[in-house]
Amino acid sequence: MQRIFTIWMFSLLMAGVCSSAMGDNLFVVCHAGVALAATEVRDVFLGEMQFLNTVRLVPVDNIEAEPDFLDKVLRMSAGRYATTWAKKSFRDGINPPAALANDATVLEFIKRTLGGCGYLAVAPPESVTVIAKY
Amino acid sequence: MKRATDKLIALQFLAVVLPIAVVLLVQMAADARRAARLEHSRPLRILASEARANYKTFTNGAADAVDTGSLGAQSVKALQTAAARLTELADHGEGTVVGDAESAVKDLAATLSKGATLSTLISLRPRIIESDTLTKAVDDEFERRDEFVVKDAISSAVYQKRAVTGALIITAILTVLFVLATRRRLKARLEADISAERERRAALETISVRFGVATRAARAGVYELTGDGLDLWWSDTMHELYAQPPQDFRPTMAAWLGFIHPDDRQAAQTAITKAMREHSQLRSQYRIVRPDGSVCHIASLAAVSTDSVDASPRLVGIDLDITDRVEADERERQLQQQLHDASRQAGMAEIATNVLHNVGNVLNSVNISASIVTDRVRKPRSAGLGKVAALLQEQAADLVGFVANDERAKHLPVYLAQLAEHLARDQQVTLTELDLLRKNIDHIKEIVSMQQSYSKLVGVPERLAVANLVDDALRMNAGSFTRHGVNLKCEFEDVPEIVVEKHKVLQILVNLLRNARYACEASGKPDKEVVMRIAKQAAGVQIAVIDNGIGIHPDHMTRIFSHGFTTKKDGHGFGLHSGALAARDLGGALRVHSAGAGQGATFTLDLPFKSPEVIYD
Repeated sequence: MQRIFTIWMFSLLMAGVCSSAMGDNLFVVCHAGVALAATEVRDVFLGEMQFLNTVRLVPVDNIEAEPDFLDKVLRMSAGRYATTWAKKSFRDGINPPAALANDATVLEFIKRTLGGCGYLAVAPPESVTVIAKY
Repeated sequence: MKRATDKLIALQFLAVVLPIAVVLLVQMAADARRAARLEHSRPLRILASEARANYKTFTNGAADAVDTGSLGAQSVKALQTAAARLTELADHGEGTVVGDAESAVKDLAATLSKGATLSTLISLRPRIIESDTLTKAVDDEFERRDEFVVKDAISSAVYQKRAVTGALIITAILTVLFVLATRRRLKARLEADISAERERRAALETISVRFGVATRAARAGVYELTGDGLDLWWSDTMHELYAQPPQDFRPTMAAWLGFIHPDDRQAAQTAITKAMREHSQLRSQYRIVRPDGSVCHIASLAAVSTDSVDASPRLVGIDLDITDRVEADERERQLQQQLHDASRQAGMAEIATNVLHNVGNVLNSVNISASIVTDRVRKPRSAGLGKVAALLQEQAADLVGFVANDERAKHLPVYLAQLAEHLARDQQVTLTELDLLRKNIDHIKEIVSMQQSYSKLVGVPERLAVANLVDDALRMNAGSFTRHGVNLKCEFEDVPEIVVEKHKVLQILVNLLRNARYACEASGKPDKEVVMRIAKQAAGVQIAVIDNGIGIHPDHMTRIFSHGFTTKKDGHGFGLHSGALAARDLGGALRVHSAGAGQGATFTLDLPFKSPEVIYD
């Protein structure tokens, strides 16, 4: 467990480093039919919003695109993001978003998971709902 | 009416009370059940809540450790407290609900019993989150159960409220229905009562009108006198009877007595006092003097009533104007007296006629005998004897020479012998006539004597043989029957003696025989016959006078005994009437039967063995 957390923290740091090197576009997407507002993306990824109507939202991090996401969307550092989630998990008993390796993995997860939310560095297909584009 | 109303009210009360009582009883049982469940549920929920709260204190402490770097002792203590509460829950028999939470928290508490750094906490985060989930589930479960109990209590209270509301509605509906039913029933009863009351009033009004008309027609006044005599009420007809207008006169006892004739006042007052004192009926008769001086005869009938509210006796009665009746009674009494006198005179005349007739018959014989004796006396044989005596006196000087020589002397013996023979024959005739004369005088004496005996026995019943009685009657009429050629036939049965007033029976029989003789005579038949029959009856004796005379026309049958009715030229219409009355007085009856005109008639006199009210034995 400790190793997973370490990897997660490392991936966050790597995402921050790599984000600047990535492309300019970042797409926040959800499972088809999840009509999430762009302003709600932050709450979803910080554990403040766990349901949209009756659909349980399942946010996932994209290790490759996370630095860009933290910078453009959450506007916080990776450390702050990890700390916030550490407190959140202790206080509210919920786990932080799972960290998936790349766009393809994230896209696949979102397609098959009802309520799945994530972000991609590449333009998503029409089979998912684009919530916001950065 | 009152009983029916009370019953309706009782039913209405039950209708109101019963639903509420049932609801309250059911709700009391439900309340007791809910209280028991709450008493069991609430401590468990508190324990679960405390376990959860302490665990959250611990997780908050863990979150704070992200900033501080280590877990505080308070958080550790809270974690241990949470573990203890979960253990208590398990000890209360809720192990199934507590499940893995107890062991997970206890293990965590044991691991962190001495505090922990952030890295330790991070490493334990899955277990912390899992325990958080478990404690939350336990807390949620007990909260759910407690809320269920509370909700059940609330729903039960709501149900109770609804039930009470329903009961009240039912009660209200039943009340309305009962009120309507009661009202309808009471209305129907009231209408029936009113209708009955109207009918009673109408009937009373009718009775009152009839009573008024009747009392006015009967000239009867109604009065009511209280027991103390101070309060006296008169009806309008009473005022009219006493000629005292109601508006001018207020009746009082003293005034009432003042109207009564002085000769009758004391008796009237005594009768009233006695009736009031003895509560007996009052029947008195008195005269009143009206203001105009006229005297009115009053019959007062009253009775004492005690059915008033205060139970004081009241004398309620009527005063009847019987002046007409009294005057009629007086006139009738006078008429009766006149009739009695006439009857007496008629009877006397009848008897006198009979006596005179019989005596007259005898007197004829007396007259004949007297004439014969007179004739004998008027033609005396002694005249020739005087001539013989004078011749002998003339020849007294030479009586011998005369007898021897005179031629006349030679005829003297023959003459004297013939004279003696004539004198003896005259004496015999005279003696015979005188004897007949004596017998006739005795007969007259007997007739007079019999009449005198009848006169002495008037009104006195006596035991008599019926045949003798009939014989006397026949004897009194025997002369007329013989004179008019009416054959008399007697058919007498042996009958017991009867006790009657002789003269009344004779009066009846003499009348019947005279009528029979008249009927036979008037018929002109050659074979006039009257049958006198005596027969025994079950309760007395029957005497029948049967004639074959002119008979009785059917139209006359109903009036034959009426006073004044007669078919005879010189009749008075009194004989049969008085005969019928006399027969009734004797306890018997006088009847007639005739097949019609020319068919003769049969009069029957039924007499009891003993006349009523006869004391003589």
